[in-house]
Amino acid sequence: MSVKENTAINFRSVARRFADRKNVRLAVTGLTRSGKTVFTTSFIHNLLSAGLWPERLPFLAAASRGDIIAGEVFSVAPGLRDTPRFPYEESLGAITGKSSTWPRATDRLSAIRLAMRYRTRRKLARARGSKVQILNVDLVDYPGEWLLDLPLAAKSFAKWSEETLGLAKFEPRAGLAKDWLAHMAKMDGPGRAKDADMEQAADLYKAYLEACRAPDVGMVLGQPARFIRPGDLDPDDPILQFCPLELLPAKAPAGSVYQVMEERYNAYRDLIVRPFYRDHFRGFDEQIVLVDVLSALRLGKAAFDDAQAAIGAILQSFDYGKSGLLSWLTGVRISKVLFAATKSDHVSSNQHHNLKRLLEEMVAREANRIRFRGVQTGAVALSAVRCTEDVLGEVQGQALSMVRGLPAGRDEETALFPGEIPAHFPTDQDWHDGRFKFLDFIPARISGSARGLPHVGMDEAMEYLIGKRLK
Amino acid sequence: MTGRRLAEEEAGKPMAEPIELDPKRVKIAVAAAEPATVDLDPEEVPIEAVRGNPVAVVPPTTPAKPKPKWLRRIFWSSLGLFVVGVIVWDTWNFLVSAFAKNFAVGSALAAVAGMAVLSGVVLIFREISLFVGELRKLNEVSTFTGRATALRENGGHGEGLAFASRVIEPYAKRSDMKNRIAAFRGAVTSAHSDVQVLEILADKVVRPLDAQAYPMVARAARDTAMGVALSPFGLLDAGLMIWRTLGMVREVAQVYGFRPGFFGQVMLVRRILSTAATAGIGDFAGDVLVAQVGAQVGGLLSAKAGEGMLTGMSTARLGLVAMEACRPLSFAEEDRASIVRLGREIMKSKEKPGED
Repeated sequence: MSVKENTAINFRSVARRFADRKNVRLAVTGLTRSGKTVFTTSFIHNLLSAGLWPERLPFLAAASRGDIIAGEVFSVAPGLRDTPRFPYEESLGAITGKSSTWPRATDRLSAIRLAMRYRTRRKLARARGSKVQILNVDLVDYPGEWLLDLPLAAKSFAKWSEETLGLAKFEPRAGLAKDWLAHMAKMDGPGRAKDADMEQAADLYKAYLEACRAPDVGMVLGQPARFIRPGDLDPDDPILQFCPLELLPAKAPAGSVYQVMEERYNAYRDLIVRPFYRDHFRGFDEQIVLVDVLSALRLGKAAFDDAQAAIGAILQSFDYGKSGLLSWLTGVRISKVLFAATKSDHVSSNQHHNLKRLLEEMVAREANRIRFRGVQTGAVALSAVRCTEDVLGEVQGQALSMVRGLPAGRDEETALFPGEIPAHFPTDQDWHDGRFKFLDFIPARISGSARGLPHVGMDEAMEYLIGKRLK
Repeated sequence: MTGRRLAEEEAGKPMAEPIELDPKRVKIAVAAAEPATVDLDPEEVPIEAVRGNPVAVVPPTTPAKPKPKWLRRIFWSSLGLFVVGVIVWDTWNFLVSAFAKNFAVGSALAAVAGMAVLSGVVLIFREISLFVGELRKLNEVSTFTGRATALRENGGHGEGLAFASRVIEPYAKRSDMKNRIAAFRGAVTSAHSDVQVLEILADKVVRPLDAQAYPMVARAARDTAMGVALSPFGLLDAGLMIWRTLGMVREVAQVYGFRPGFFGQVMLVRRILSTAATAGIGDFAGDVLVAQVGAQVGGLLSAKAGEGMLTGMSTARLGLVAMEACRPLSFAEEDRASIVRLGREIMKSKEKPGED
């Protein structure tokens, strides 16, 4: 983006501050299966219902005061004109329909604009006679894996190879990488590149990445992401046929394996990662980072550490800082970040406090880095769509807080005590099998969805992210 | 239960295993009035088994023995008995002499006296029963505020709902509260923590009551200020202020669900004064300054106007304390009643004189 363009965009964003129409770009960030699509759907639907039925959002001050009049969704958001519309109605239909399932996994980019009409309390605006204002909230949905590509934008092939090969040295990755590494040992870096060998290397690497992210392994940090979710790309495109290589002591000759792979990596980085980053991951005002803490807990220490590292890697790519009146000079930046532990309805409500504490510990390093830039951070235990209820179960004469709901793939409801969520990182010894049991509950108990979706903490998240803008 | 679990965790024992049950065997926690934990039997543990910081235990202080007040008591009770005796004796003599003079006049006077005594007794009984009821309510309010503070400080989960339904109960029959209580019930879910439940309760139920009470206080403050500014002599000032303030206290108390009779009102005023003396001072110090400055400025125009403003402000302050004394939850920082807000209410009531 040229300096001129940049300035124009930033100037517009400053001008918007003084208009009756305000825009906010919300970054919904989260790894795959962290619930971005469901969050976006619930966010839109609950805000759309807030005009007529504000009672579902007691902690969104504007709704609680009765200031929200109504909302509407639009497909076109400036700057995202070529992006397909986020399938809001479809996602909502899946959640509230007879099938009561979760929306299918996101495999491409989509965007949506939510426009909120509300009565303003700002004296300046009221004095001008504009008592009703409009806030546009732009949301982008995309496969969570793609986020993991963002760090590549600033990385050389050598550096990326070194890091990726380093990761593959540790269990459980080392075991899964055996086939691929064995094949690589046969290949000669400085030797001539043969198409069949290269293809096989890329395929084995792809198989390794797939194996790492299997639900029972849960190693999420895997690059390049388009190997797994190609989106609009053809999976057989040569641009998707490379893998990390050991650094050569001397410069690789032209046409060698190393040189070809490096070329393809560079093309991938320059033609796919950078444009994607430039077009869709800049100019955010607020950010919510969704973290599936419970899955990380269930899978054990390695998965927990991996998720932590992946979050760290992603968040490096965003611009944080105070965007004030001088933002036309400094560029629009994320000024508020909320970390959310999703799927909190899988544990009973009296454990939410510990869930939040655990999340805070998990993201402490990133939160600290972000706060240093003068950006406000917060944490919340969230459930975008609540599909369980709290019940008391009796076990050996003692009452136990449990959750009741319909797990996926079953016909009958069940009551579950999933184990105690610790308030601190468990130690290695504590992480034994059978300490936790989480079930994938589906949204089967939802009634009266026209009045908004039942949730945990969505209103707090909304207040944190856009509450001040609805004043 | 949490206490025991924590203790186990501290001692390094294994934590509770995950468990799955048939939903028919479980109770629904949302509807449960009791907190979602089990009561534990008291347990004694050897000191070696206890970890963590020792908690300083304050020895229960035995209240200091009150000084014997028997002399004063004898004085007052004998004086009271004497006065009552004189009245009874006098009445008796009066009636006897009336009968001696004329039987018809005597019996008429006796009937009137009997009626007076009878209705007096009934009145006193009613007053006492009202007073006892209100006293219970007032005591309940102070337990409410204490309990709410405890819930806030514990930051726990599962006890807020039961507490909120106890606070709501006295308002359930009021027609103006039906919608507010419904709004509260619609907004709160079992996922909310105790602090959140209290916040929703304050927002949906208690703050609307404040909004009803504010204009009353504002009106009383304005009335006393105007009255004092216009009244020609001091005794009228005092009478005006007392009469209007008592009226205001009664109105405010009614908003929060009290029906104070005469004794109840006295009790309330006593309580208000003690609240003002203990809790209020720090909170209102800033407001006092504002009021003083305002009065000084008013005093530049006319001494009487300045005096009026000061009286108005103190009436307002008393009204705020009355609100605090009757409110089931104590004021949070953000809605701490302040003179500034009252000033706004006064302006509002001036804009719409038709509503007065």
